[in-house]
Amino acid sequence: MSKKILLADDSPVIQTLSKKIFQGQGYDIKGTKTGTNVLDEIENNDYDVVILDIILPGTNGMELASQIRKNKDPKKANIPIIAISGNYKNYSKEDFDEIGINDYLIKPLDYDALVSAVKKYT
Amino acid sequence: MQSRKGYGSEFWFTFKAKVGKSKVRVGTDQRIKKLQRAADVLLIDDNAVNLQIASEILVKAGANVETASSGFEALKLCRTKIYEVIIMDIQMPDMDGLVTTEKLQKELHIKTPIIAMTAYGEDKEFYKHGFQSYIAKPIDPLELIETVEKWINTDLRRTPSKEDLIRKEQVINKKVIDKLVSYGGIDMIYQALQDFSEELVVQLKTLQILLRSKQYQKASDILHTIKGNAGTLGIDQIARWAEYMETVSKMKKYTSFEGDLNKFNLLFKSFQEEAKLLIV
Repeated sequence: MSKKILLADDSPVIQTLSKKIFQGQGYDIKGTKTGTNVLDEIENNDYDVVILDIILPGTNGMELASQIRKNKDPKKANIPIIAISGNYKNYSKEDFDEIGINDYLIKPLDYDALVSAVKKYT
Repeated sequence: MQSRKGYGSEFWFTFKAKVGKSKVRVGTDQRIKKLQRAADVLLIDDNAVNLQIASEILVKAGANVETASSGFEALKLCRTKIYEVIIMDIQMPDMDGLVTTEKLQKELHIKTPIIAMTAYGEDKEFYKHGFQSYIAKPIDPLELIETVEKWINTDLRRTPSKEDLIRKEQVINKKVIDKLVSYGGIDMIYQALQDFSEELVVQLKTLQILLRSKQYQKASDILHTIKGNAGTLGIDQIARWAEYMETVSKMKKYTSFEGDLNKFNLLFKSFQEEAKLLIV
């Protein structure tokens, strides 16, 4: 069965590219453009990896990541999280490590890097 | 000629020249015309006095002027900022104006019009080396202002010559597109470019409203998003322009945004034209 990716990013460009590219790589990918339904999505589905934009309308990506890690179901609490963002100035590597974000990529996105990051965790 | 190894050489020569008329009359304000808008100008000259005179003229005309006293310094400045017009002295020690111009255009891929400034007269060599125009030293204030005016208004809008088309840097980086196509196919690119265009139309309108009402933080957030999207799709020139505007916007004082937005719209048009060719 295909591995499942949840992608939270408000950019239509990133949604279009990521969906097609990861489908081409054999993944099942679902996209959301806001942070508000990310937690529900995870609660109601079994995702193998979450790609999270840090700057999202609704709930901020950092806050979402720390909520995911607090999930009562240990399997869901440990879903690999890959952060993507255009700006890490407000956060340091330590902040990501502390929350338990597994990997982080800076926009502009290099899909070679994103695809290999996803493959690493699935 | 006299030479010493490791120290360089001294040359002497004599030549006949007509006595030039000194045209610099900075103090007489009727010779200072105002530019239609504040343009970002970079002045490069190793002579501090010349630099100051030219700078004063342009500042009085309403330009935002930055100066560099060597080719090296100019390269450094141009790595982090896009100017609208560059005025360059030809005779400079270490790296002259011709070499500096070549480096700016071939290494940094700068499209800004570069104007040669020299006392030795116009020379066809200037144009071969990538200069777009020429002004004589000693500097005539009106001529200097009018030259800047001409190039801030014709930049990108002028009909490109054949030579321009060959030299013209593409708005879209074909390498990035090719890689994305190899991942997701041409239809995906078509859709993503369409998404990008539709979003950018809205973003540019929003930007104008935000900058006019001095909401610089919100404006720089939007520019940041544009930079990320454009960069991901390999629309390099738009990514760089968004980055430049983001930098200025973050300084909370953005006087030249109307002109910069115009330029953004022109880049957007060039992008759309290139994108059409890409799809076919």
